[in-house]
Amino acid sequence: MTTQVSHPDVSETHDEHDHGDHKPTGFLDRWLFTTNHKDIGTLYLVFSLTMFMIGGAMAMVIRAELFMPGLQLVEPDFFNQMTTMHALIMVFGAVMPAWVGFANWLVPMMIGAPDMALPRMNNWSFWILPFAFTMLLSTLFMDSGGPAAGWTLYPPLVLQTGTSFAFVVFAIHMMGVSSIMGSINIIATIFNMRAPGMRLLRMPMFVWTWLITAFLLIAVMPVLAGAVTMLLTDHFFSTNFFNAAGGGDPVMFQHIFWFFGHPEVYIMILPAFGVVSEILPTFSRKPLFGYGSMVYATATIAFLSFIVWAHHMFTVGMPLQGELFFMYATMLISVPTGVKVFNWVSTMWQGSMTFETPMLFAIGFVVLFTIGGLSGLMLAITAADFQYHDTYFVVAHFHYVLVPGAVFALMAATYYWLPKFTGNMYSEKWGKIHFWLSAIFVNVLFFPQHYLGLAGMPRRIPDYSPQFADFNMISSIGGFAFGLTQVLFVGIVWHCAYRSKVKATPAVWEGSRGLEWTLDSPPAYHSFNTPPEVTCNALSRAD
Amino acid sequence: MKKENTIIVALAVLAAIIAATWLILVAPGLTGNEVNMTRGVTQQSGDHFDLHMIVLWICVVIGIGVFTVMFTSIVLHRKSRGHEAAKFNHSTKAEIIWTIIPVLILVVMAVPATTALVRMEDSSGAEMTVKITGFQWRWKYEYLDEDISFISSLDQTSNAARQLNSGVTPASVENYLLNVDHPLVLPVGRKIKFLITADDVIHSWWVPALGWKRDAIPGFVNEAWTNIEKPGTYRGQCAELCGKDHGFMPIVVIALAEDEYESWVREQLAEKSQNDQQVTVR
Amino acid sequence: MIDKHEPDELRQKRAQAVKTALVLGIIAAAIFATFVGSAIIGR
Repeated sequence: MTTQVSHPDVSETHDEHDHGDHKPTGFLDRWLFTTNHKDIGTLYLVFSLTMFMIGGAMAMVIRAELFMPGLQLVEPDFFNQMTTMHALIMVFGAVMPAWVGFANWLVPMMIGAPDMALPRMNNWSFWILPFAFTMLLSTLFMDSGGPAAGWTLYPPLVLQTGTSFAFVVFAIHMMGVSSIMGSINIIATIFNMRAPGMRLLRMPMFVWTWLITAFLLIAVMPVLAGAVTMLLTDHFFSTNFFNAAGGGDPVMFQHIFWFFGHPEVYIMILPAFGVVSEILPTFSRKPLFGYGSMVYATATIAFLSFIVWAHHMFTVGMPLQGELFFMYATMLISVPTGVKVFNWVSTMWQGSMTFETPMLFAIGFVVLFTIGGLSGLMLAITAADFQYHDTYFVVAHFHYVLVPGAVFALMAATYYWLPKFTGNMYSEKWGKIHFWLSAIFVNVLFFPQHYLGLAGMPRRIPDYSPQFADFNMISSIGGFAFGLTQVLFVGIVWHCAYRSKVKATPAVWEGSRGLEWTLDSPPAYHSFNTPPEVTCNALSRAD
Repeated sequence: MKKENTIIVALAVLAAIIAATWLILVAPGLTGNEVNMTRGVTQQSGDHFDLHMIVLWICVVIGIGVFTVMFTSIVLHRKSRGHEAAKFNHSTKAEIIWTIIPVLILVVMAVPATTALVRMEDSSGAEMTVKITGFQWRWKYEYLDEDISFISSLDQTSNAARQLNSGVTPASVENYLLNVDHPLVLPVGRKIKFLITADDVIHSWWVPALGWKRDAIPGFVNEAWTNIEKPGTYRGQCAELCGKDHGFMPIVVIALAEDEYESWVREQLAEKSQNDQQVTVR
Repeated sequence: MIDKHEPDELRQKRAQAVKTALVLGIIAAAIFATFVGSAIIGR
C-alpha cells in the first residue's frame, strides 16, 4: 500500500525549471537569511547539540564535586549556579530546540507541504535563540555570577540574585517568544498546508504529537512570561506579588510557575512519543498498533497535564482537598501513558524485528521511560511524597524520563532520519557502540540516585554526609562515562554528514512508510512543490 | 510460531527479569548502604513507609509484566529467526481492558493514600507547640508553652571541615553535616504541634524519622504535628534550596522519655533565669 | 521574494495559514494579558 500515486520529486527526471535544488549562495544568505524549513531545522539541531554539550559540561562539574563528600572543587554558590544553569540550558537550549529542529525538517515533508506556513517568522524563531543563550551564559561571567536559585526560580530566593537577574529574565522572554512563534507556525502549517488526502487521522504520529505539543506551548509559554515579568517588577519596580510583607504570596509564584512547568515537561516528551511511534513500526515491519488510541491518549495526556501542577508543591501547606485533587489527577495520567506503552509493545509483538541503532534507542526509551514513569506514580502519592520531595528520588525520576526518555528519543530520531537529511548512512557499528555505552552508563548514573533519595539525601546540595558516599561515587562515575560517550555521538553525526561514503536510498530502512521516505536522500532543497496524493494512513496501514 | 514455544521463552525471560530486579532492588542494600526509606519512629512515618512499599511493589510487578512481554517479543519475533510479521493493527477489546485494569489498580492505591493524608492533616489535640523559623542558614526553635528559645546551627567541627579545601576528611567528623550546636529536644509519647515559618526565603523542615517535611515560608505559618514513639536522636536537613548554605543547616531532634524531658525543661529555664539575673546585675 | 511560479492553490493555503497564525498569536497574547491582569487585580 503506497502513500502516493505519482511523485514528481523523486528524481529520475528533473522538471525543466528545476526550482528543486537552488540553494542560496553566500554564507549569510544561506544561513542568516534562510526561510527554508530544512536549513532552519539544521540550524536548530546544530544549536541544540551545542547546548547539550554545554549543559553536559555543567553536569560534569556537578558530578565531579559530588564524587566524594567534602568540598573539593567549587564554592557552594557556584555549585548552585551550575545546577540552575544546567537545567535551564538542557530544558530550553537542548531538548526544546532539538524537537523544533526535527519538527521543521519533518512536519512539512510528512504532510506533503513545500515548507512551513510562515517561513520568515520561522527564521526569527531560530535566530532569537543564539542571542538569548549568549545573554544567559554571559551571566556566569558577571560579578555576582549567574542565577543560582534553581531553574524553578522561586522567590524570595531568586530576588537575591545580583546583576544577572534582569538578563536571565530577558533571556527567558526571548526563548518564550521563539517557542510561541514556532508553535504558531507549526499549527498553521498542519491545519492549512496538508496535501490532498492527508486527513488529520492519516497523519504520522510525529505530526500529531507536535500538533498537540504546539497547543501546549501556546497555552503555557505566556504564563511563564507572566511569572518572570512579575519577578522582574518585584525586583525592580517595588511590586509585591511574591512578597508577604507587602501583602503578596511567594507560593503564588510556585502555582504560576508550575502551571507552566508541568505542561512543559509534556512538551518535552510528547514529540518523543511521536518518534517512538514512527520507529517501532518500521523496524518491526508491522503497522503501529492502535493508531486512533495513540492519538486520543496523547490528547488526554495533554489535557490532564493542565490540572496536575501542584504535585510539584505537595509540601507547601495546601489544604487537604487541594492535595487530594492533585494526587488523584496525577495518578490518572498514568492511564493514558500506560495505554501508549501497551500499544508500543503490541506493535513489536509478532513483528519481524531487526535492531539497527534507531530501534535500539526506541526500545531503550520504552524500557527506561517506563521506569521513570513508574517512579512518577510513586511520587504522585502525596503522603509518600512528604518523604520523597526535594530529595534525589525526584532527581532520579525526572532524569529517567528526560535522559533515557526524551534524549534517547532525540538520538533515535537522529539515527533514523540523518540518512534522509544528509543522504549518507552513519556508521552502524559506532551507532551501536554509542547506544550500548549510553544505555549502560545512564543507568549507572541515575539509578543509584533513587537509593540516595530514599536514604535521605536532599537535592541541590554540594556536599553530603558520608553515609551517601558510595552511591554518589558510583553515580559520578556513570556521569563521566555517559558524558564521554556523547562526544562519540557528535563524532558519529559529523562523520555521517561529511565523511561517510555509504549513500542512503530514498527509503533508507526496509520497513519505512510515510511521505518523507518517498523523497530523495537528501531531499531537494524545495520538496513537494507539487503536493502528492495521499490515499491511506501510512503508519497504521489502514484507511 | 508455536504457542508452547512462546510460553517457555516467556517463562525464561520472566526468570531473568526477576533476577535482574532482585539484583537492582535488594543486592545494593547488602553492601551496608541504606537503599530504602526509613520506617521511622512515628505513626505517620510508618504509614508513609507502608504506603511507599505498597506502591513500590505494584510498580515492580507492572514493570516486570511489561518487560517480560517486551523481551519475549525481542527474543522470538525477530527477522533473523525467520519470524514473519503479523498484520494486525488494533484491538478495541485490548484497549478497553488495559484502560480499565490500570484504573482499578489506581483505585486500590488511592484508598490507603487518602487515609494517610487525612490522618496527617489533623493537628488538633496537641499537648505542646514548638515554633520553627528558618533563617539563612540556621533554624530557630521556640517552645511556646515554656519560655525557651534558641538558634540551632551547623556544629563547628562540621562547619570547619566543609570549607573548600579544608584538608579535613569528612569521614573523620562525627555526624558530618548532620550535627548542630543546639538540638531540638522533644518528649516521647506526646502530640506535638509545630508552627513552621521563615524569616527570609523559603526553607523546608525535614526529619525523615518523623515521616514528613513541611515548607517554611516567610510571612506564612504552616502547621504540622508529630508524636514520637521511641527515644533517640533523629537527624534531618533543610529541604528547599535557600541559598549558598542550603546544604549546611541540618536539624537534630533528641527525643527523651517524659521525665528526662521535664528535667531538661527545668534545666533550660534555670539557665535562662541565671543569664537574666547576670544581665541585670551588670 | 514573490514567487511568480507559485500555484494558486498553494498561495490560497498560505493566506489561510497566515490567518490561522494571527488568531493563535492573539490567543497567546490574550493568555498573557489575562494572566498578568488577574494577578494584578487579584492583589
